[in-house]
Amino acid sequence: MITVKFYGLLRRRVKRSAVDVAGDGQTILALMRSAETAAGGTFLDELLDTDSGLLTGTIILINGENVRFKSGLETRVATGDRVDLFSPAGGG
Amino acid sequence: MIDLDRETLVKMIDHTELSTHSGEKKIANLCSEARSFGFYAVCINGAFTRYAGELLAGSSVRVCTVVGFPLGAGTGSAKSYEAGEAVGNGAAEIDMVINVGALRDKKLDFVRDDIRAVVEASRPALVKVILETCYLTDEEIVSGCHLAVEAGAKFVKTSTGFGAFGAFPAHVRLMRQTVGPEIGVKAAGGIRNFKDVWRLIQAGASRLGLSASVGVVEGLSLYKFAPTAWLEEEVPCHICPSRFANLDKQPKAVYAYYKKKCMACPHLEKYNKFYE
Amino acid sequence: MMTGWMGKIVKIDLGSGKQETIAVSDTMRRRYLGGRGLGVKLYSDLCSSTTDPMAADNALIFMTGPLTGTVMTSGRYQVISRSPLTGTICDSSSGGHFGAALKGAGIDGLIVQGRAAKPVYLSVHDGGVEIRDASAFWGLNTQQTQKGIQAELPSKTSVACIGPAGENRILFAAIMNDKDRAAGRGGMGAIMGGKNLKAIAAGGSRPVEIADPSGYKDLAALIDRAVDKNPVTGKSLQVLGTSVLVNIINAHGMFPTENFRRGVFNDAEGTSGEKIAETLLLRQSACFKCPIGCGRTTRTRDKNGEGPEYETVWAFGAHLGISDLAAITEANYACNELGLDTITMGSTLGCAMELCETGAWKENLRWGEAGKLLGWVTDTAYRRGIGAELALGSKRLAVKHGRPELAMQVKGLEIPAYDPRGAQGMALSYATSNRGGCHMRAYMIAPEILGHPVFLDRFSTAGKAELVALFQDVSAVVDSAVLCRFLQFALGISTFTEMLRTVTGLDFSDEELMKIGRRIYTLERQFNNRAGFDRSDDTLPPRFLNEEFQTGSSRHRRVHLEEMLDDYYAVRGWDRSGVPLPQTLAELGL
Repeated sequence: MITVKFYGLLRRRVKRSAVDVAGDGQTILALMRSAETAAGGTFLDELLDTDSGLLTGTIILINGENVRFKSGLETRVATGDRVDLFSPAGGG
Repeated sequence: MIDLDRETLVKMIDHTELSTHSGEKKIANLCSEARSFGFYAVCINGAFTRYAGELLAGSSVRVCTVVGFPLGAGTGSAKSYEAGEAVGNGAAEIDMVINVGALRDKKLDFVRDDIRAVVEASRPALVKVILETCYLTDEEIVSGCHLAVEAGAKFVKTSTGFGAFGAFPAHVRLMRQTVGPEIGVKAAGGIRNFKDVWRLIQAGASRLGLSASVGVVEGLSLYKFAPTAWLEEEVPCHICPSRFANLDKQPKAVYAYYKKKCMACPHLEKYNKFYE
Repeated sequence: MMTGWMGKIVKIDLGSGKQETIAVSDTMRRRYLGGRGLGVKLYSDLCSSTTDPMAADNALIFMTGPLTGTVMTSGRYQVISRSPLTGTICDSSSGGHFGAALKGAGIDGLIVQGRAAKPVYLSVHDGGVEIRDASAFWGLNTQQTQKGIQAELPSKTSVACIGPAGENRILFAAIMNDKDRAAGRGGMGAIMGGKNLKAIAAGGSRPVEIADPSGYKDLAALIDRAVDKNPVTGKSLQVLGTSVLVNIINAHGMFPTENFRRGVFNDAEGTSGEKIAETLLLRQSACFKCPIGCGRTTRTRDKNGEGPEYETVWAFGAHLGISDLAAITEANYACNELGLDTITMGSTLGCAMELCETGAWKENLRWGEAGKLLGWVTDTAYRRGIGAELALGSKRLAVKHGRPELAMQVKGLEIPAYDPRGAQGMALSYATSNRGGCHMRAYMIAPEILGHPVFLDRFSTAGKAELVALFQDVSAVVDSAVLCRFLQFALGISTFTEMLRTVTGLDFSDEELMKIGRRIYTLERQFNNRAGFDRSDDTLPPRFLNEEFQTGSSRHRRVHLEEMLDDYYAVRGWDRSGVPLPQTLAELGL
């Protein structure tokens, strides 16, 4: 199982802060789709653009590392990974 | 060093709104932004051609309509009719989708005739041919370019934005090498920020189709003043189409083609950790 | 007819009561714009790098810019002087309505010198300034002061004032306006208190003239749309406020915990923006003409007020090992009422706790003591008991107790809520900020963590110098216009150029704007050089250079400052000791 954690506006969409999903060897994109099903709520539109690319400012961490520095949405996950999802945010 | 100025950049942009579900309000916003920023054209679906033309009256912004979009698998006569109608409604440019299946079947005359029919029906408007590079091998891209030019098109274009992936510098470079300096090369699909735009322009794009146009133009001013910082060398895999090959979305043969390229790539050794 | 600017700056001496109008040439206006830039320029002409900040002849400058009172977020103003906390040049920025009120009252800015014999306040209206007796308000907190003064004046006013902390000249006292907006950093409130100046009230309906009204209208519509469409300014800040950053920064392993000894706080969740929204939030609040509305109007069980913001939630939270959100929030309310900078206050407490833990200070402040927070804050404002020492700020406190390295500060100003080991660019930003440990001079968190406008490798030092300099210059322009920095999430430099063009009618270009920013930054640097600051002060506490986190996603990292610093000086056109070279000065007309 892989723990997917939701923060910020994503929590308002799925009404929970985390969900466990099976997905060893899948891409992070596929995993997030499974997470939508598992969590019973959609949220990918907060993270992705209309053509399924990452929105500017979307932060996806796998074990604390940003997928943008790996293979983006094609990065593969493994059992035991921790995934943190943040929709674009800012502050000062 | 970025020697691109804002005026030049905006005139390279087709400000695009092609979503299935977009209504008049989105198109109106699109036209208003295009007017304010001075983009070259708006790129829209056929039903909005006349409306966009009305909204843009008096400005220098052109209307560009897509035809046979996004699949390209309709008949040549349907595409020609669509093109002629769009031009009658005021379109100055037509972005048509090549018959991808026929191209992959190597039915070259068929493909050429398909394009030629649209070119004829579109006069005096200019025609761009969308190759949909995500479903093609390099050889097929080269072939598609030749056919488009032979048929009288004035531009070749990478993608619809609705396929497996969009524009990559490698494909733009290949297309530019193939068509030479006189024919236009339009990059479209998945272009999000100025960094993407700059790479594509350097690769040889002379037109860009995107919806994030406003952000890109704003981005120019930021990047201009710190080019070496923002435009540091990209890890080659991050901007390589092979990295984005996807068995779910591409024909098996095309997927395998990209994967094979990846395995034979000289960068693989150094950037192996990005390959999963 | 001048557009944008009102064309009037009033200089007033509180001792003699004498007022004069300061003439600012068109050239100076064009070269420094207003706000921070013009304020710093006027300050350096009037005073010097050796002026004692607390002496009567020190000038305290309140300045707006050509865009104040026009586009969205333009209610802000800047307070400029030499900081009593750091000794550097300091500008402190505040939101709300006060800036717009100054222009409505017919002036661009105020220069206050001298010291009043008794507490006074200034009433600014109809292009003039009146000195009024403030004895009835001396001793009151900032909320009471604002209400009292507003009740006393005939027409609607916006009030900027100090509370007991400023009256007691606490070195990090803030100036508060429009209820709970703060010009927080650098101790501007102490200077005001030292002058016996309790408040400034401004009001009026003089319009700001626009050079190109139709261009302005189109531009305003465009900006509206861009800000609305942008997920940060259009959604995230409204719904969750700035504390949405708590979980983000914590997930990146750089949420400074217990005086920056760790980067992950075990109860970050309990002090997050999400938690505030769930438990304390009444509604969002917004400044003058602002659709973003990042402010939080909140209530705890017994009290209500504004905040907390991200920096405060950290300063009284993770930094002290405290996870009691209500206690943090009430400490924030207290700082608003007393007029204290929450960042320095919280950071000083964390320093104090480590000093106590190591035995360097024989007091009993311990991590996690949420119940004592309010008492410490109040005692500091009144210099009571332990507050007398806390009122020193972390640097002086740590030096006094023999452990200077335990103060997490740069040039005397405490570093805020981002551990620099998690973002090398941010480290350089802290080290080279002209007012000391400040995150706003160059907010490198935007590209290094938030991915705006693109993601940069936060652990790399490559290219960071150029970007830090760029952001410092752009920020200087935004602070001189005067607008809210949050606009930068949605708008680019060329939009700011366009705003200035349509309002002032002057043909600004992006290049000119960047040059103005660079000029302002370099002028500030010169001031600091003359005040005795050099390369040795462009540094970070040893913790960041020599110690590493053992856990979290920023573990095993140190700041590699020296290489970035050399790059930075080269980019800036300064010599290796951080002094601007003659050709750099010549280029900028300095």
